[in-house]
Amino acid sequence: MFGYVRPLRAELRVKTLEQYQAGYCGLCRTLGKSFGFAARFTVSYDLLFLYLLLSGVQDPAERERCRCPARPWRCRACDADSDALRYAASLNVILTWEKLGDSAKDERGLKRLAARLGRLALKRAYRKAAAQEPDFAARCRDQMETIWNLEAAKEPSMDRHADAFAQILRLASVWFSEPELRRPVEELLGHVGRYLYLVDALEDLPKDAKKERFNPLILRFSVRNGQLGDEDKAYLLLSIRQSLNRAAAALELLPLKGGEEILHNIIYLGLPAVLQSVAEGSFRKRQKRMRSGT
Amino acid sequence: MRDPYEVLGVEPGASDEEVKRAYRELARKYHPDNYADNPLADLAQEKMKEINEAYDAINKGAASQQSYSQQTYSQGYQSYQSTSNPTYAQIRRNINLGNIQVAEDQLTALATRDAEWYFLSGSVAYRKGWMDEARRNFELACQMAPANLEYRQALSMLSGAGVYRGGNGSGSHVDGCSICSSMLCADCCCEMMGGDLIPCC
Repeated sequence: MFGYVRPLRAELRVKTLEQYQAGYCGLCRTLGKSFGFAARFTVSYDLLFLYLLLSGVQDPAERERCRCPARPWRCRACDADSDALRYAASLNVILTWEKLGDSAKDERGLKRLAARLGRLALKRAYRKAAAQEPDFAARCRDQMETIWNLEAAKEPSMDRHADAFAQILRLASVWFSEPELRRPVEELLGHVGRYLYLVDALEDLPKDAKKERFNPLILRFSVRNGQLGDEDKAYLLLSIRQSLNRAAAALELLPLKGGEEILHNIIYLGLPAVLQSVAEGSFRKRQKRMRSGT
Repeated sequence: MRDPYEVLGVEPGASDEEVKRAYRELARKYHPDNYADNPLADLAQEKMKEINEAYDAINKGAASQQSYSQQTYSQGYQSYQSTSNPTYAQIRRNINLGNIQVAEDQLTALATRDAEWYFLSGSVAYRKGWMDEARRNFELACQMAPANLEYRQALSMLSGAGVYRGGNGSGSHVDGCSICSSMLCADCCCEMMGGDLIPCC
């Protein structure tokens, strides 16, 4: 997935940051336990958000200690295995599999090779995940076809493209059987899906324009030198923020117990901050800086 | 019924002031205006009802403390002017009932593309969260019928800087702008009735 759905760490209380990290380690550990070591590499912030959303209406998860394979010399707190974690882990594998399939189709050269190798490594994990969530896997597959068809048809409406993607996330809401929980979650995930798709399109715009690849923004706006005009950019940002408004309105209708602070932070602060840094073109740069540890 | 103090998120021994503040905060959050044309409007309405009942239960007997339940709100399209075209009336009903797919099919089947058609298409798009399509349709509707207040309201909802409400709900309920506009409004009313509130205008 994309990794855009993350909290604004500076605004988190220490205990909430610990809760977030325990969720991350829990998801990674469940991926490893259920789907093998290779699946651990697919752990993503986006699916961590899904897990926090699913478990947010329950009491806080129990904590355990676990050893991180990336830093084996220290123990970390991590959420105990639960239905919500296993569900998020299955979806994580399925969505990564589809994303790699999409990359293998779109990319050229080394990146295509990497995507294919990744798929090879995940094949067994995907089969197992698809066996656990057959409906989700099948409908996800169909939805990818829809996305590709829209791309091939050069559909000019960016909302139609975004919605084809958002539909995939909406499917995840079937985890709740009670309509008063499922409906807000479905709505929330749909709007976050539109946000994700459009933010990703904005992030990739310079690269896609240079390589003359598909990008919904090229069809919708006039793009010069891989950049949107100031007016178009302001229009797009406003439109994306409106999706966040709707996501926030849906979040307020969920009876949250344990996850209130972290979920509020992500929706009200984290997503706008990511949008801002993508709009300024500083998102990937910041990522690289964080990885190199400065 | 749930414990009213729990509904408002305050301690059972909370002072009147605290209860009032908590109530106002929640009422602002779940206000029907925030969920206009939202598929979750019914859930927000239920929540509002629960909050009102809790507030009334705590303030039982205190006549001065009336909750918002006494007021009436405009609910979606019901308050809008009725349309002359029976098909459009039917489409509006479907949008109100949440039958978005049906409304969309009905719109696609129509041959005419007048202002109302674009307005209703925009409403369908808005319900689905297709903000770009919604705004473009509302713009067309406004261009074709510049005098129509309903279309203009819909467009301004999407072209203003969307009110992104703060997470933990800090911020005042009254801002400078709304004080000014209320004053002007009150002045106009006074002048209409023969008096004057602001002598210079």
